[in-house]
Amino acid sequence: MNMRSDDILHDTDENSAALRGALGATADRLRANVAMDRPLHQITARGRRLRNKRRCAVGTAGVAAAATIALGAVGLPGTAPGTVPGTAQHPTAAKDPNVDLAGFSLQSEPDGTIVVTIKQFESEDVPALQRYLDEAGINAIVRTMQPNGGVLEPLTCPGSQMSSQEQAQLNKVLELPVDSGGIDEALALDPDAMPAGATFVLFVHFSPVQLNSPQAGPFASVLFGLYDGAVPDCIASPAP
Amino acid sequence: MRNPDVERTGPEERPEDFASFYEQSRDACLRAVYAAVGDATQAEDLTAEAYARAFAAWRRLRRHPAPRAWVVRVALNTGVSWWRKRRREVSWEPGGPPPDLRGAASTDGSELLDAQIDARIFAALRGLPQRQREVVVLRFFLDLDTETTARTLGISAGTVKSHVSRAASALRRALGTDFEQESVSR
Repeated sequence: MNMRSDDILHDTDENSAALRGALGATADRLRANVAMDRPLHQITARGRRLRNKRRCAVGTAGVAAAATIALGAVGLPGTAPGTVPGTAQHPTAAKDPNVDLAGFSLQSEPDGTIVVTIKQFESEDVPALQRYLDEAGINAIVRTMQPNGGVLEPLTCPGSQMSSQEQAQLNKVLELPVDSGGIDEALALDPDAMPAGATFVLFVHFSPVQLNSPQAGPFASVLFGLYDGAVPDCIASPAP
Repeated sequence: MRNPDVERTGPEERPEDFASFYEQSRDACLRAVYAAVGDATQAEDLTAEAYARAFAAWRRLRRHPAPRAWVVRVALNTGVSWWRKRRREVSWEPGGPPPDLRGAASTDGSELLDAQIDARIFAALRGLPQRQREVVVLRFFLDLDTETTARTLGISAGTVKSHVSRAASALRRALGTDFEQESVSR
């Protein structure tokens, strides 16, 4: 867990008691004043849409997955069946934006957007996702953040602050959330909204273990950015 | 490993399970998310989205050891994405007006003071690193024990305690005398 021994030694019941004391009155006031008013039928209606959309996506992408698995096996004989990392794809398969791998999938929509779903994503999937995004018209940099690395660290490095114009462009390119289905993280990208020369940045932040189920992906969150021009060095070439 | 008995039963076949879960847990989950984001509207939107995802994944989630914690975690992770997307648009200015809190609009002096203290606490919580904030929210607003918090976050109990220790130090620094006064007054 990469924790120092003195961290553990510093933990005492006193800390918990102090926190409970400091936060307790606020927690009590929340209990008295805050209640969830959203009707159940609204929740379940949204949940059904998420589930149905996800089923459609899985059904459509399954055909592409079968094709790319076969091509990957030809291109890289050493690839283990059933694990199929993104880097195992044959170059010609990448021209089709529709792809369904273990780590991620891309699906083109009739309106021209590309739905990217982050699934059991691993560091080895980074170059493949970056390449597929590039070929789908999204000039992209994909990065990962390891557990305990601090989720916001890459976003606060020197020069990483986006301008308000870049922020507005990001909002045009990116739609969140999409049909995550409760497990995976999905986003819709509009290649036509990408300004010439701009770079879309995607961070996958890992969690040490799978949270939801053995089928769930190991990532904890996915963060996004867009730079119109030079990408800050700390993002383009992060320190090892 | 899939359990075929679980896979055959989805939310459509057992709607009462999810309805019961929602009824029993929704207020607690909303309060925990509220504590982390400090905004009532955003907290309700995030919590509702997390419950919708829970419904979509209910046939697996219903066997989760702590589904309430799952909902809060998904809501906060969704919040990270939204915050990232809107980080220039949503900001807290020290000394500015406190976030909204139902009941805080009262002209009663004590309630106004409470609302100001709450606002400072919410702001201090938002200043914590994400994992520390998750630990604090799960432990002290959702009332999970250390072991359940650890399982939910996929970390060890020792790491949870370490985050509690660090969060206590950080909040003590951020809140100053308010931290000590609130601690003593309990």
